[in-house]
Amino acid sequence: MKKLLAILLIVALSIMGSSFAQAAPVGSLSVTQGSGDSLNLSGSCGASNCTSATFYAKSNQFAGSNFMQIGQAQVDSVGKAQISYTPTWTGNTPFKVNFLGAGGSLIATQTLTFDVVKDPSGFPQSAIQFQRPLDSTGAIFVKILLTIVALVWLTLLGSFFLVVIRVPKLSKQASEEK
Amino acid sequence: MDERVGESGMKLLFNKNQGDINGDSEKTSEVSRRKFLKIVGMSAGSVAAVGAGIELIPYRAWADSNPNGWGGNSGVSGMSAATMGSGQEVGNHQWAMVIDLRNCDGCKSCTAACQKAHYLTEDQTWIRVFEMGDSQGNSYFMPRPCMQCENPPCLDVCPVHATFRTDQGVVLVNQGRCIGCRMCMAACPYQARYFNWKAGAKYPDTGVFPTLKFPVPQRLGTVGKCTFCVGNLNHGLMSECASACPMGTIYNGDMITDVAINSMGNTVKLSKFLYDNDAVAYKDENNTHPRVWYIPGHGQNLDTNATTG
Amino acid sequence: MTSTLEKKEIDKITVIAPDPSWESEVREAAMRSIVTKPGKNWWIAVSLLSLVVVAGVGAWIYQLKHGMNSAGYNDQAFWAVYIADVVAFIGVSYGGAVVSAILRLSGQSWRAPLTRLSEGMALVTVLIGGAFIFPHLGRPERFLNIVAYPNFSSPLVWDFIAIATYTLATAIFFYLPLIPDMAVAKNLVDTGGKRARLFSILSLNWMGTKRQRVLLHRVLTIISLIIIPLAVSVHSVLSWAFALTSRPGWMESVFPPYFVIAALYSGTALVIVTIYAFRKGYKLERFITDRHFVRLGYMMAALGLVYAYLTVADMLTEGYTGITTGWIQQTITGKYAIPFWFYVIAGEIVPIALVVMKKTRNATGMTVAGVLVVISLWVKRIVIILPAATQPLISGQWGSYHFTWVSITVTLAGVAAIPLLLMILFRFIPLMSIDEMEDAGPLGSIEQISKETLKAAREESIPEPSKEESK
Repeated sequence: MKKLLAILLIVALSIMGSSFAQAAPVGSLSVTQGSGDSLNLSGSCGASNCTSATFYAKSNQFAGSNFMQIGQAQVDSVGKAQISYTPTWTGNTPFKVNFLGAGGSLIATQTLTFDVVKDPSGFPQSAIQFQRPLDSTGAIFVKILLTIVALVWLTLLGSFFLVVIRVPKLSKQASEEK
Repeated sequence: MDERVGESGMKLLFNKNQGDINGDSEKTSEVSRRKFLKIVGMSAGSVAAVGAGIELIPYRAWADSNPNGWGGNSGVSGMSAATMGSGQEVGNHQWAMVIDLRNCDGCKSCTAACQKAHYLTEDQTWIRVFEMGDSQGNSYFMPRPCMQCENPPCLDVCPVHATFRTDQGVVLVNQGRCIGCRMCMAACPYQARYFNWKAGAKYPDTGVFPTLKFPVPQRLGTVGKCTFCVGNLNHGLMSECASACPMGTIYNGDMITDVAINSMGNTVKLSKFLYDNDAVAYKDENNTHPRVWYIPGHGQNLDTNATTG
Repeated sequence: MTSTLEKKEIDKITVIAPDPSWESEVREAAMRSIVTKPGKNWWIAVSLLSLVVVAGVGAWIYQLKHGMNSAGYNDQAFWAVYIADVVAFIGVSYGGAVVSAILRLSGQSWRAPLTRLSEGMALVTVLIGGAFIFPHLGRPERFLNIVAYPNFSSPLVWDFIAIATYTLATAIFFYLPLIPDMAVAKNLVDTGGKRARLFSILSLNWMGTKRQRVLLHRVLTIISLIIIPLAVSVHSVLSWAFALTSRPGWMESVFPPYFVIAALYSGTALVIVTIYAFRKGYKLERFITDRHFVRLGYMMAALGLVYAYLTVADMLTEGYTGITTGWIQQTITGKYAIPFWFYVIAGEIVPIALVVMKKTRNATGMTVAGVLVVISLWVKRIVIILPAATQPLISGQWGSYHFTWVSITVTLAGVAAIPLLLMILFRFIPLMSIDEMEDAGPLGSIEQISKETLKAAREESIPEPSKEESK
């Protein structure tokens, strides 16, 4: 019985030991300025059973934010994977790569902080500037309408004051003629 | 039924969180995408059943037709700095929101947190959770904040320019100018505007002078609405509703840095997240262009054998 | 004074010569309200109506203090009774303008005894309708922000512009034909009194010379020409406050003509009611005859049919495809069925039947029809506004508006203000346009006179300048 327990312990320890060894970060990650604004992220898996690599970056914009996935790549025959990434913010940014095995198990991981200097945001101006109703044709329309309103007011007030001014004058003339 | 929804919703979350502990926000998107495509159909159908035609415009359709636009179809921008224009009108942030309907269990924590933070009455649900029916006879929940439309109808009809849009893409109300005509409430297709009808109701002296970004306490006789908690966002904090959500349903996002985060700390690349999960804009056929996207479905109740929506 | 002529006797008269006895009759009748002292009934009516108005103002002050919730408003019934009041009151104002302006332009001389009363009604109701914007606003004290920070893409700014312009035009249109009458009136009241001084100022020293008449006639033609498109534009812009939103039930291309016809329909009805009340109160049966009521009744019935047609057009186009049927269901069979069918019965079937049936085709019948139309068209405005405002745009329950004592009192104050202001107004001005009545001659009130005879009659009948003036 004791023997059996000892064997079980050894087996358990060896499994744990092997899993610890596997979890150790054996991968590597490098970030270099690529062509234009993009960055090249490349990493190599220290083990032979890696199949895919997932790359992450971490924004410091929100408190409590974590690494966000920025791309995935297949690991080539020499255990390397790389992606091109166009950053969307500048400053010291932690990058990370996770190498995964066939079953999706984590084999290797590595982090690196890189100072991003260029961030050509993909945000187009057109997404902000919507044409308001009065931007082009509407403005002309409004001016025409306001002119019409002004003319109506002028006519109304003009005819009113015409009567108010002319009628007493005409009365005066008429009584003078008499 | 709600409980069931809640439980399975939690399961889904735990799966996600396991990933997050390792700094991993991996989506099992490929597996579930086919499901979600169905949900899009279902949701569109169900909303039509409620009575207003096609109301959901998928983000994917926009991204595919604008490969050079924001996000692009690969989730990686193809926009160059030169075509950005002078950028004067572009603020340093463009706030957005993603609401992952798969997670919402209708607990209304968001509404409660919002009302508490802004000292609102019970009727003033700046973020309101609607219970929606679908074609399968099930129901799902849809939180509805202000959509912060890029082309806001409320802005055009305000007679005194009390509604305006900031350079960060947030539509705000100047309650010091509002005359209380409520034309904006008539124009908003989302019922997202709330008037201050009652005097003295829950408007304590907070010692805070109401500002445009933080209109607390609300002023009697004027219109108020969701501000996206833009003050919080500018300080790296999340909006009240997003941080109060126990399910991580609501994501605050910035379209400039292309990052979105929920209360679980789940951090995603916004454009990629929207594209991969078939996000939709609600009632975009009104030409409103909301800054709030929905990821449709109530995944827990999915009838995967459903043929059509 | 001759007693009221029988209708048949008037029909027999064929002489069109200027008739001094006609003139003195007209003057006496038109001045009745000014010359005679108000009776007991007048004072009772005025004080009762004033009480209602004061109560309404009090209710509004209460609403200002306690918020608009006290008037029954909530987030799903954000527009309700006050905007309906604005539309209804400014609507009936249009009727007054039309009876006066359209009939003036088309040379309908039978209008002569009606113009003053209908113009007065138009002026009073447009003022009340404009005033109802204030209880409608949550912050009425900031009203002038519309002038300070106008957003010209908002239909409400154009509402403001249109209503302001229309009010100005109505006021001028009311005052100018009054000038010759004021010259007559100042001689009929005690000289040196306050009223005499007021009339003297308002008369602009009018002597009725040919050149003065030509001037006034031209100016009035111009204003008549302006006031019709102006009134059309007011009601169109008012309708666009609804139609320029994306709400089913409001976003309708039929809305502008729909509102214009509703305004004409209810306005003609209120003209009938007004002239009936004043005819009875001041015994003007000699001038305002049953045939006036019948003609106005025909006009009203025709407009009623057009309005029914537009109502059907509106509902059919919205309801047929089934895309936006919620508000139609609620209107026809749901929450708003009772007011809607009230409109159908009391606002269309009964009034038109009263016009069609020979038995009821008289002053009383037309007035009953007019009262029904005015009330049911107000109800119809509620039916237009509430279903679209209270509908759920996303999902969930229909909202509901509850009438409270505040909104009812304020609305009743507006209703009471019409007769109150008219009764007070016509203590200071003649009930009929003496000038136009004399132009039209005894037949003018009944039948149309050819232009030549009218002209001949006018040239001969220019009144002498009064003796006091020439001194």
